[in-house]
Amino acid sequence: MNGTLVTLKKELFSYCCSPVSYLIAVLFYLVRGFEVASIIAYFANYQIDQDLLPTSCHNLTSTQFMVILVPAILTMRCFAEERRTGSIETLMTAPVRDHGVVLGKWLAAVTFYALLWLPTVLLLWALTLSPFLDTDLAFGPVFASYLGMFLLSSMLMAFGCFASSLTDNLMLAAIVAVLFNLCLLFLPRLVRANLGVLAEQYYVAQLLDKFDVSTNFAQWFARGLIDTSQIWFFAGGTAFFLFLTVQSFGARRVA
Amino acid sequence: MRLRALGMWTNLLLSSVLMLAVWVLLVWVGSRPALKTLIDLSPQQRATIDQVTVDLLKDLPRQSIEVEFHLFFEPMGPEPQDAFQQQRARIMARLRELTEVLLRQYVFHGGESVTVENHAPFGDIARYREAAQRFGVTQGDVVVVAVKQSGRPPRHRTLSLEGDLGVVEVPEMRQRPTALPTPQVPVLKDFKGEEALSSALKSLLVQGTPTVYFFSGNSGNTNQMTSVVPDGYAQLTRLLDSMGLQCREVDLRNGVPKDASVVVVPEPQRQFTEGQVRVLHDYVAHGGRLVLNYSWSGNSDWNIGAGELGKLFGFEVGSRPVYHLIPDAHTPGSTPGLDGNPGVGKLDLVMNPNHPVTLRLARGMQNLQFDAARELVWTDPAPAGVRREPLLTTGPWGWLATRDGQGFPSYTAPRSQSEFKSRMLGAAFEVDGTPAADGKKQDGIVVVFTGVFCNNVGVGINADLAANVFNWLCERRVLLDIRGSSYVARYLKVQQQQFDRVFWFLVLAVPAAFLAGGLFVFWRRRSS
Repeated sequence: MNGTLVTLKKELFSYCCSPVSYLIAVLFYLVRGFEVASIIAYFANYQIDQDLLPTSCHNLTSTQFMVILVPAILTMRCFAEERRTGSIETLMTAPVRDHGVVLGKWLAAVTFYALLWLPTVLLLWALTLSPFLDTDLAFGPVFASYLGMFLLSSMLMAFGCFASSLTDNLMLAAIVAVLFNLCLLFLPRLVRANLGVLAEQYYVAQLLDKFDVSTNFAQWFARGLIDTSQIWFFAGGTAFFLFLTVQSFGARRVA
Repeated sequence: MRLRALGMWTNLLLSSVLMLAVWVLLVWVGSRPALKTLIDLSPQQRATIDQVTVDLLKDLPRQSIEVEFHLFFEPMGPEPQDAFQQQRARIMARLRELTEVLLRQYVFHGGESVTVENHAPFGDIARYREAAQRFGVTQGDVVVVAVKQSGRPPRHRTLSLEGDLGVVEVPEMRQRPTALPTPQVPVLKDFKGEEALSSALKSLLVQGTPTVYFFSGNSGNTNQMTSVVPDGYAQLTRLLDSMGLQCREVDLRNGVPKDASVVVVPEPQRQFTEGQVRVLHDYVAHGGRLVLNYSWSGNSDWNIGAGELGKLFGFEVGSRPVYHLIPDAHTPGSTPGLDGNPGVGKLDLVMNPNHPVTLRLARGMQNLQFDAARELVWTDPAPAGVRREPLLTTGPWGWLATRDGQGFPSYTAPRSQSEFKSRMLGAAFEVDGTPAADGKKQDGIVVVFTGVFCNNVGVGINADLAANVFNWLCERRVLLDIRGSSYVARYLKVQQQQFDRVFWFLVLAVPAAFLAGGLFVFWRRRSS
């Protein structure tokens, strides 16, 4: 536990001091600012129910950027960088267990990712104040959306850690992670469209439903609906990829 | 060394497969209907489907009923050129999306008994054509609800997204609430998806068409069933028709027809003859269902009592109108009771929270309003074999009005506190059945209301009560209380100045803050 905390602190500090992190934040908030402003104008012009505004704020290009690219970018250096620079030897001989190292690095990435997202809630809240929109927005779906985003990104970052543990090439780790994210987000829909009658079989449909995280996010979490079975899916997936990372990290030590 | 590495990788592979199995098992266990929960944090909890629908869907597997929802959505065409059509296309897209989300919840609760099939015209053409022919679908953007029950022919009903599931307001009917330049476009005001789909589903599950007979022979207007004047009952007839009940007139001279599910006597103004009393009593004693709806009239000759029929079932109807004190918010310094205001005749009611007819209306705090009401009184003792239960009462400040000097009912409240009390206006009577020739016996039911509530004016407010009464009497308990989610749309009102502030805050201030933070960290690292 102590080893996890030490790794967490060290990694989080390095994230906070990295110029790449601030570059991501500036780009993300710039694009998101344009998008949210245009959505507000759209809602006012076309008389769309304002309770859908927070939900719509999750269906933006900036959100896809945060889901597809950012987890891969944040986690690509977790292990690959250590191996590239040779500091992995120090890490392996340090009095920290394998799962402590993996958990610490993953927790640091998740914490930094959450810190990147948190100001978007504050922005939504700020928009309700009198100088801006002077109205109350539905924060139930916001909570559910952030929960869904947190669960999804936790799983994606667990995979990112695993990809990083497989290679010493940062770009390769990032590309593998991005490909996985793209597959997870878009492949189930493609498979469903091309499976024909088989996709309508109850258990196949259930399986595709579970893996269709993009649709699940848009139709459940973003609308303020939490299906507890999806929490198990994300939690199980996260545990699975973290387990693989620990095994991969440990296997490297032996090899 | 190589063998050891191979063993290690094999170990890794095996443990990964094992962990994958644990993940699958975890998800499978978590997806069991008994273990999964749906938490609704949506605004106004509009995504929550009614408990009646949930109960119905959860009951489907037990009854081996298969329900299919077939979606025939029109493909998105090229972007329309004018603002009206563009907005209509957006509304249709939203309705399609809302319907899909709603049906996902039906699947969530119905499990394997509920399937949803989206027929895309550009997908499997043969399958699309086969389904369209099977259900007789000739236009797009419709939902077909189909039900398969063992031993019964499959049934289906087709609903239109725009006409049945959505409520769309056209531009001429509304004010523009925003200061930004706004095109005159239609607005989606409400989504009645659950109400429409559940009603269709429930009516499909009920086989046969119950018949409601109206006996208007003792009423002032003998053509009440089709009368569209305010005190007619054409709207009620239409409501019952939409619920899958057929309405007919009856003349009690030849008894009650054998196919009668319910007999209604709306606002009788002449006392029942001995023969009519005998026919109605026999009908109820043999399991019949009777609705008696008395009212108060300015003509005292028309305010008949319950007479012999009342004695048989154990009730009497008063002759004076029931009024009720209501708070007068508009007249400062007025005496309690809205003295002099005919509003005291419009009665807000307290419902029995335990009776199936009023249970969910009471829990939903639904507003009901009775007019021209008289007091319903139970005679003591209750006749043998009759069980009585109140359905509706006034609040504790009900009073019986007297006539003023000109013979009109006085709206002035009594001065004595003892004259105020809760007055009963509706009750249900269950009557022990008489054995028929085959030895079987079925209990009869009489529902009595003593105020006007479901004529053409009242049915707009009391439609749910009327629907519940008839569904209960027709033993279609599954149809009780169809209520969609309450949807109150709210719109952003944004002035240009406000919008400018939002724009610069989001596009300039926030990214600049992060940029400044980054530069500060960079400078600190450089300087240290």
